[in-house]
Amino acid sequence: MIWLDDRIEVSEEGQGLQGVYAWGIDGDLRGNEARMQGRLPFLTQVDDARVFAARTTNWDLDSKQNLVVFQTEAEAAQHGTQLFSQSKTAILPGQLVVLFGPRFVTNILAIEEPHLSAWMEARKSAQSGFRIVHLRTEDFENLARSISEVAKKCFDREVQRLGGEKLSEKASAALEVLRNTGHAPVYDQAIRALVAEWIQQKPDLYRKTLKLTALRLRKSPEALEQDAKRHLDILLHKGLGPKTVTTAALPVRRSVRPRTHRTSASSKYRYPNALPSWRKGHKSETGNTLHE
Amino acid sequence: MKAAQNPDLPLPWVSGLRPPTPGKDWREATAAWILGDIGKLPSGKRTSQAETGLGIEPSHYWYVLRAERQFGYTVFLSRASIDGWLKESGGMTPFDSGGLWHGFIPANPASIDSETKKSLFNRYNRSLIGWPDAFCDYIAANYDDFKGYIQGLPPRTGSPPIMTSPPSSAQAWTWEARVTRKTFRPEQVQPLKIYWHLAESDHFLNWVETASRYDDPVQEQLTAWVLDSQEICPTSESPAIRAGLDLVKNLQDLGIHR
Repeated sequence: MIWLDDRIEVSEEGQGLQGVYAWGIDGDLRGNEARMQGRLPFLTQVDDARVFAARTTNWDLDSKQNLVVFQTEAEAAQHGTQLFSQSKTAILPGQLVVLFGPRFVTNILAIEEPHLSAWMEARKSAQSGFRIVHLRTEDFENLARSISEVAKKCFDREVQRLGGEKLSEKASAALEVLRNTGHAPVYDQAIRALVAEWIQQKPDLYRKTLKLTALRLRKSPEALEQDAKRHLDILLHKGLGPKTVTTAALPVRRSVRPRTHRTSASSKYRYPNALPSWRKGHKSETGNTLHE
Repeated sequence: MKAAQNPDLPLPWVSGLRPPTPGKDWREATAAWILGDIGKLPSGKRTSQAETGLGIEPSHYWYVLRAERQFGYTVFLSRASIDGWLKESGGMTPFDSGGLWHGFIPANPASIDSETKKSLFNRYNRSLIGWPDAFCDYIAANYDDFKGYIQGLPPRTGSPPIMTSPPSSAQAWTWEARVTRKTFRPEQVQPLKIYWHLAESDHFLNWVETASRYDDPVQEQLTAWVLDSQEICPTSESPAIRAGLDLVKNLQDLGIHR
């Protein structure tokens, strides 16, 4: 639980909740610096020493089922970390307290998507760069999905822009956002993580990601690897159309730079030697030799 | 059938991620719990204060058959051994011992000093030997069925002079099990299930994969365990609520009421 030093007013709009304030948040700060998380609020009332912890978003102060009551603020505070917040935004029943970690904010700004950056900049910074907003559950989930989509597109665009030669800081930030919104499908994350590790030539990490994400997706590592290769191939050949790419069926790391930049013909296909099955001399399932 | 007579005793011990563990983030605490490695997690400051005050050896703590709703972030269910406990293994109280020491469990008279707290603790403290029978006897004496206890409703008599009406809350009548850090062995309390939100699950598994200090086989073990044992709860609901409903349902499905 996180407790706030400044009380956030609960809107009385049709709810009869005058004098009710958000007192804290059910969640941790530590370990969540890179995340966006939607948490249930803790509430206080004017002239009442108790702290109410909402257990579902359908909270109201008369419900015994959806609230936990701490008899004093001291009792509630023993379970929490204090968060200094300047936010005075009203909160309504049905809403979550959404907490953006400082690293998440930095990554969002690094992506440089104008609307998202402007929206994030408009949120006041709390302690250590954490930012707080209140959103209905469905709005929180929609926001998380939208951010994931922005991050996916940014990552793909960056890989395409640099021809898979290196991973830009923007692409790294996008990947971290993708992994920390909590609503991006694991498959989308996995494919891009594999592409990133392949570009960065991190064979150990690549193998580990492949193994663990295949386990999570209940797919074979081979099938997942094929998907990652296909995704990279599509990115590097965007404009050719997926059909052409599929029939080419070569998970090659083909440079988009003119061949004149190369020292030899064979160097246009560069494979990190240590990468499993993407390395020199590997034969694909279709029998194509992936490297001359 | 009485729960205590059931060989597949569905009386899990329950823990959560509150209070925060100093020096450890929730992902490390979760991994330690799954791996039976909780001995590496340091005690919280307030837990140590209560132990010193009540004369308890440094211990690990669980609630018996109740997911405390204030610990809503992540809920762990564990399968506790029925046999094999020794007198020095730890103990049980029909209330939260830390809550008693820190004054969050009201009693009659309202103000009790440290010595009274200590004597109250000693009066109700019992060994872990035969704990299921003792627990089931308490339920039979205080509730119509397990459901009332799991939902945190007040007992009929409870543990006098601890109050069973407001301002007392479920902390004052939830059974607490403890195993001393010195004697704890992972096989005594084994991880059974984890309740959390999808965001926590994804984040934890991403952390295991990319940022944890564990070797590959341990990473695989953690991932496989989570995939097999997790219950994903809706964002709009605390995992403790879902865990509580499941605890009731599991007992009802087995025809166990008290």
